[in-house]
Amino acid sequence: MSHENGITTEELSAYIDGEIDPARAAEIDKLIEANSELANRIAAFRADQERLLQIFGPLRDVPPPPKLVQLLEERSVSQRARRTPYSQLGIFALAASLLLVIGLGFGYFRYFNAQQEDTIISEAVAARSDAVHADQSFAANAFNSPQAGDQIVASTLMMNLKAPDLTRMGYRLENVSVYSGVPGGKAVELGYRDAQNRLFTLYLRHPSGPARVDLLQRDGMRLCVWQDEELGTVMLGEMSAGEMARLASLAYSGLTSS
Amino acid sequence: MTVARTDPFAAALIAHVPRLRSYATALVGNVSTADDLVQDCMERALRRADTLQDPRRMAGWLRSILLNLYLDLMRLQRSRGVGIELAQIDNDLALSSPAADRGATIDFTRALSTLSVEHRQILLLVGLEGLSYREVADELGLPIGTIMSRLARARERLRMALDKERTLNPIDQLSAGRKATP
Repeated sequence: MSHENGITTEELSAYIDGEIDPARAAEIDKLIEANSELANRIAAFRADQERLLQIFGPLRDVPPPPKLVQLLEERSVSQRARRTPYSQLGIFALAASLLLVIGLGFGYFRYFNAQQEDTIISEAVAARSDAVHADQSFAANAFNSPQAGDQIVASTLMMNLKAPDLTRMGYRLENVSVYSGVPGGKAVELGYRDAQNRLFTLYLRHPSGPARVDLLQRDGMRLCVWQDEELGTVMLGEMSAGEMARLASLAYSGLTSS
Repeated sequence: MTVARTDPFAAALIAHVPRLRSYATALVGNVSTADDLVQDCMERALRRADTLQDPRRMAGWLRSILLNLYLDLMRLQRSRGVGIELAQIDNDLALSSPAADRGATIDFTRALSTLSVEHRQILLLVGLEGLSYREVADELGLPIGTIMSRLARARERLRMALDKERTLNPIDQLSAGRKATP
């Protein structure tokens, strides 16, 4: 650990990333004001950081090569065909088998699933348009700690989740709303806005259908449904498919508490 | 892009491809090698789907697979006495940059390629993927203190390598400057 102007290189790096204690950050701010060499050094590190994003960030806008997509779809079908149904499909396959065995019939099961899948989308659209009244609503700028949003999400859904940080994509958390009377008990909607005042909503609740990832367009709005065995999410916003794919990826991975 | 309903796991993999390509290209410094690695990574991911414990950690899981494939590739190249050509590293990326930035892009990718894989990896996880130190620590299974010191060293070495590139290539700089003139 080397020291420079009373700052270790680790502290300098953490300062650039906003990963330093606020009191220490304030001290470093003062040191920078008094030391142009230090200011230049920090500016150079920040420029490197920007250059990294400038060169490699746009590659995220490039859609996956069609050949790779085709290959994945074909291989996934052949891979899955070789697997046992219980290990891969888990509880959903078991539930489906039981429903079939007890005579509800495949047709009804398909209908049932389709209804439930559409329900989560309808709920998310209704929440976004305020067509349904939230039980509780919290403005993010009134939170008394940065973790308050995480705590609302985790306690409402009783899962180890957090409110994803989407600032890298230019979206800041604006509000958190809690809804009840939905499958699984309660749902949470996180509202984010970017500098152009565009709204991105992330609706979360327990899943009510099989695992899925769908990117759709409805009424001029881009919609992403990303659901696994534990969590159903619906993301909505007026944006391109590429932007939604990036936001959805960031939001979904950002839900996991660390 | 509308992801087909046929297989949710494959659909989730496809959704991660653009991000993974960006990460892979920055890691290896070469678009075509990165694409090959991403394809191999996706195939391995399909074969080892059972090892993904938490679907929300798919991005990190894919990055780990990709890194292991890259390390295998480097070992193979070393055993055959083959290295990746530096000229090849820059071309694809430089051509995709605005003319005014091509010299700087070449310098940057060259400088990045001189770092160790560990240093490149940590710079990319924080600087490109936007992970917090805690998230990086979890992904790499290392203490936060190690992450901080490794990242600080990586930044220092990148800066030194950039300074060296600029000192060694004054002609490139002039050339890039001329190309930038409309």
